[in-house]
Amino acid sequence: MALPVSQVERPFSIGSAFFVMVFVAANLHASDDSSSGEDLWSLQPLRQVSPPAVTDSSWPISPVDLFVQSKFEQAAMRPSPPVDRITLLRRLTFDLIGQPPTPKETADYLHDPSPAANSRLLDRLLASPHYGERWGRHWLDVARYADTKGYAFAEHVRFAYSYVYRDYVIGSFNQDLPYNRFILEQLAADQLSPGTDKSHLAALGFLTLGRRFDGDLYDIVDDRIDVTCRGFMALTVTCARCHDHKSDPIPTEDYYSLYGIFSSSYQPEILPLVQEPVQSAALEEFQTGFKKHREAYFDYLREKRADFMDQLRKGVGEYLAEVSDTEEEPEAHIYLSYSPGELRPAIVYRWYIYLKQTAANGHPVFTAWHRLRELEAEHFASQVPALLTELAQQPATEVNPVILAALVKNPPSSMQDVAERYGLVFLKQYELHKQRKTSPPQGGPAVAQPSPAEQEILAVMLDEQSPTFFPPEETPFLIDRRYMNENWKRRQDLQNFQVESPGAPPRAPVLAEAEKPFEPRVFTRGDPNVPGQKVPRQWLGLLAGETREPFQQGSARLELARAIASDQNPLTARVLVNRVWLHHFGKALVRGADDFGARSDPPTHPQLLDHLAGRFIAEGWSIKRLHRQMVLTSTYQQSSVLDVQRQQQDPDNRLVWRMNPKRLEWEVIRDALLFVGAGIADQIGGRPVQLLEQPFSRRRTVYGFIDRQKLPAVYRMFDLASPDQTTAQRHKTLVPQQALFLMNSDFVLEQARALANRSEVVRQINTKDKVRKLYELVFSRPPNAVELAAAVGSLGTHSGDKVAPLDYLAQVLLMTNEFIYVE
Amino acid sequence: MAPRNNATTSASPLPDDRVACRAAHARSTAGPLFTRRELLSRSGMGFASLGLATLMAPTVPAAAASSGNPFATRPPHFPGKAKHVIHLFMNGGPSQVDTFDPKPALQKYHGQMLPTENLQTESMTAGALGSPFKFRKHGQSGIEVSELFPRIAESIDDICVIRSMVTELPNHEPSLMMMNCGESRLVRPSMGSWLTYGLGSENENLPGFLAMCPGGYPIKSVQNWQSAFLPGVYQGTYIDTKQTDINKLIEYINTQHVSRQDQRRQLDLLELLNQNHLERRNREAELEARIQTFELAYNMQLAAADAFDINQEPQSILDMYGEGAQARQILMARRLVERGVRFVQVWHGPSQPWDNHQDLEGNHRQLARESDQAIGALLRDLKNRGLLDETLIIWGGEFGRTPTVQIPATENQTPTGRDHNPYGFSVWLAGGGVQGGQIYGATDEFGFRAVEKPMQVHDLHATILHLMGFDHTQLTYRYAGRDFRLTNIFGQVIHDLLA
Repeated sequence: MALPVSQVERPFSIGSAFFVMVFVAANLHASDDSSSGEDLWSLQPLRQVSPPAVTDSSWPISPVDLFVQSKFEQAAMRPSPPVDRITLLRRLTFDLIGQPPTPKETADYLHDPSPAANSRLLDRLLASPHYGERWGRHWLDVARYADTKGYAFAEHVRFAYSYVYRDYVIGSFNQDLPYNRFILEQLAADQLSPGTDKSHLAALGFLTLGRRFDGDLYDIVDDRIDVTCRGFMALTVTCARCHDHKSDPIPTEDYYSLYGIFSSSYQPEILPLVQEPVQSAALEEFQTGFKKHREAYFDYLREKRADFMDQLRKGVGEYLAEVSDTEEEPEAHIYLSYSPGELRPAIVYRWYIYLKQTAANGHPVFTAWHRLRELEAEHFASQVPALLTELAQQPATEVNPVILAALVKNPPSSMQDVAERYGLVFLKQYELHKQRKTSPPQGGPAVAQPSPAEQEILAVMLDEQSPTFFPPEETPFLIDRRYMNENWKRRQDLQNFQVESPGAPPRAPVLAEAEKPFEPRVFTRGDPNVPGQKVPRQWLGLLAGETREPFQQGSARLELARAIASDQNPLTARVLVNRVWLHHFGKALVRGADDFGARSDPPTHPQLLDHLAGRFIAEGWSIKRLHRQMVLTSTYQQSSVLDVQRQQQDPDNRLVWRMNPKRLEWEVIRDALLFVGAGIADQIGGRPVQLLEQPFSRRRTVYGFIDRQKLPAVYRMFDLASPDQTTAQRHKTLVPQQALFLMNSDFVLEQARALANRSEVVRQINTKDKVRKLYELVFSRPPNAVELAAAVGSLGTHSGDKVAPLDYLAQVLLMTNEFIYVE
Repeated sequence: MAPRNNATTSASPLPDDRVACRAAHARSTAGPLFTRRELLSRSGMGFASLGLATLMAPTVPAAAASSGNPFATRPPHFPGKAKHVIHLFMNGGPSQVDTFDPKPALQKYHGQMLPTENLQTESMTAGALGSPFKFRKHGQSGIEVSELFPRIAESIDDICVIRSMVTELPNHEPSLMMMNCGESRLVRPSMGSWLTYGLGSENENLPGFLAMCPGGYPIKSVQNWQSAFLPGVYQGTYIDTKQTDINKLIEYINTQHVSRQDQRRQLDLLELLNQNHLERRNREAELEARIQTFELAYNMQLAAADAFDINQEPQSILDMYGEGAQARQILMARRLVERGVRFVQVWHGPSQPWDNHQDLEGNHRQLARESDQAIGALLRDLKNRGLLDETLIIWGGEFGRTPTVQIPATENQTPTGRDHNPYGFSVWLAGGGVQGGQIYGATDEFGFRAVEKPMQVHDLHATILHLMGFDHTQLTYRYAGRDFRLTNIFGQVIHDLLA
């Protein structure tokens, strides 16, 4: 089928170009345990929960602890001892800003014996700009962030302005933007009251920076539904793309209600600036080039569109011939390329539909056509005269006289003939129309104005309902292959220029509202070729309850965002609180942090989850306050050391009887290596940088270029979140390739050398003191006797042919479990 | 099959120099030092019990979690005939009517329109293009193979030619995704990822799933061997086989800065420090597992250098495979499966070499010349070593080509090529429990559409999983609320293919 206009993402994405739609993965659940949702814990309204009373009140120092202690008492479990202060300092520093403490920070903290020391430390960490870099990265996992579009066919493979969204996220965390506002901005910033500062528009990158799926709109929208529902609410709505969700109360109609919302917006080719750029030579240079590329692209497209529409108007007869005797709906596959003169299936399809509509509604130009089609092929020629005579009796409001005259003058003997006669009439009228427009007012005989009958024929060709009319965004898919390639090239040049110009000012990767929202239908079994019942754009039934009303405003993205960010939404706050807990404790309260559906694991501490979620909302959706509630607790400040007996009683640590040791993520490993090694750049934001090429960048890893199509192997080996799927919790694997990176990469060796050559180390005369200094820098503690002896001993045994002995030792320290784990 | 023992021994045997050097080091340093083996026995924890169970849950099958390593060997659902796969990917789409599916009727209509309507493909095609290649019967089975593949034809009695493959779409991108991942458009794990996820690997010192392509990526690049939502460790490791320097084949496999001996010393010190740390943490399993990865990594350096070094082969073998990148990478593939690697995908070349829209005759001749000798050698070599029975060879592209000639883009070009054809094409299988010497299915008189026993890619995948010991409906992974599988909701095992 042809793509309805509003179905093609504007402008000029490749649409579902050259793909026949195939229906999409159906759900595989063997069991059919769909529930009404009434019993599902995650959909129950948040309860007001006060901390429980406990028998032993010596341990708890916070409400969180009371919930944990209460469970301890029920299970006859005891907490682990408090962690030592150095480890706590490292834990907090890594958790909150993703780097180890400096020796000075360590000393300052140890010299502050007051009970408020931890609170002060937390204040310092939350005020650090690196807080946003650390926690923003967690959010970028959820947002399946990348700097490239994936396999993008004719587009430039890079997003020119993805980094503007990344920087928005980092900034939002640093400012402690209320999380409910953060949601609204990411789904509908374009509809929030505009101020002079447009930087919040960048929030829409949440929706627009997904994989481009070769431009296939159905999949782009599916990705947006997934990132929205799973990202904010841990709901797996996309299971309902093909039929009702098998385990959660999400009917397929609800999927298409959301589909209607997201397909009622488009991505403009020219994106809005987030702020007035500061005048500079670089900017001026950019603007000149930008104008040139922009015009080259749009002018070409305009010209080719006009040319091709002209061809379609001249070629009406050919298209009519193609559909003249077909009963079956023609296929409207869009193919990669067309030779000149090749009929376009999409246009054939439109003529087919157009004729069907004229048959149903009546149209004087096509009355004869439809009557002639009713004749049997064998007796066609013999029956034509009588039919034409009959038609001649009818008024011009019923049968167009110009058409009739052409048929009478040269009676057709087949529908092919009919199509040819029609074609000639259309062609002639079109030529006259063009002469009228071009003939100069004076000189030469003026072409007469069209009669009403002629006007009627022209309208079939010229108005916006005509099958020969197509909106600008479809141009690239219809024009001849020789022009098509040129068009893609110009578009790429325009994108390329923005990607590569250092002077290009930041723009927001926005969505914009379509002129007319898309009216969704269910695609039966996920197949857009089989549209089923109409559904309104509206909120999910399982959350709206029985009072659900269709959304009203435009695409309804803003209404959707409000429903998600609502205080009444039972999922949103719980999901966020659960994730923050996950990153602090290494294991979430709800273990599968991105599925709160019927198959989810119920929370280990349901009351605690509700208590935290309720407070989170009550305190203005402040994530920074949430950190305080979680970390200024005895629960968080337990030791992580394994206890065999407790381990046997609760192997999965569901009671939180100790801190879970956490292997640092790829970003933090690389940043920590730089931090203790060559030094880390404190610069914040900006275009993505290459991290794996020499000379090695000292930027923080969050600023590294992320190519979702060719994600470097080392990123995968260190379990980077897939940039194709929203991720609440990364995989955690231990494979030898991680060790190989630490053993053999030039980057690590460079950091080891730099560490060994830090002035603090070099300054020491005594070997033992050098080792002590290394320990202080890497582990924030002095070595014990065994470690000191082993380290000093190792300095004497190496062959030292290429690398200085201290470099070796430094590298070994950087490979240790102690460095890679935060405890 | 002595060489394959690498797999089981990888965790423990140490090259002699290493043991010696470790012992020397132990003596020279103060403190409670043990060799690694002593430590393991003292703590009563062999490597197999260094559980990643909590670490990996819930993302890895129970077998993987309990065995402590995502690549540890795991049993399939039932004993499979095949243990390894070599997928020879003729990217671009070789023409079935010029290779394994002779169509004399095309000669009859050469230059004329076929009596049947041309099926719609990516571009417009016109009249029949008779194959310029001669076909001849081979082997006891008498299966016809074109003159392009004389060496492959020698093993035809070990080959099952599927002449009725069909795929969904006439475009490279979705068809590559379908053939590799069982889904044309959405991001899904590749077959090699599924198999390493399901079976682990038999050699912990080498990646379990390798994708080799000389000089660059095929189109869709790493998506062809993506792990998608499976853990990233199951993604194929790309090897640019144009590289002849072993150190450049695998990232970080070696360092120029540290001698092997010094690195051993570093790792010994690392182990000492880590063990010291571990003791104070009551031997946390995850920490212990990470310690182990350094030993594996150290061994991997040696194992990889060894596996990729085809110069260790006797001259007779080198001669058998021939010259050039194809010979080199196909011989590497044999060395890899011999060492227990689970899945090796061998791509003919970057982009889409077999995509001969023009000058099909010249291009197909050249491509076949590059690969025929090495593929023929692979089949015989594996058979001689007794490895063919447990190694499944898959040969084919993402689709086939039209029997009709493609109309060139500009009028002054002579039509000499074929367009893409998803409606019917040939793929062949050999070894690994496949019944050789047979033809499965058939295309129509002209080779345009599969008409007899059409076989979907999902069926091929289901059959491959079956050969590897899996019920394709049961090899699943829970992601985003759904249990996914390679064959989606489709696929059936084609038992006619099995020996």
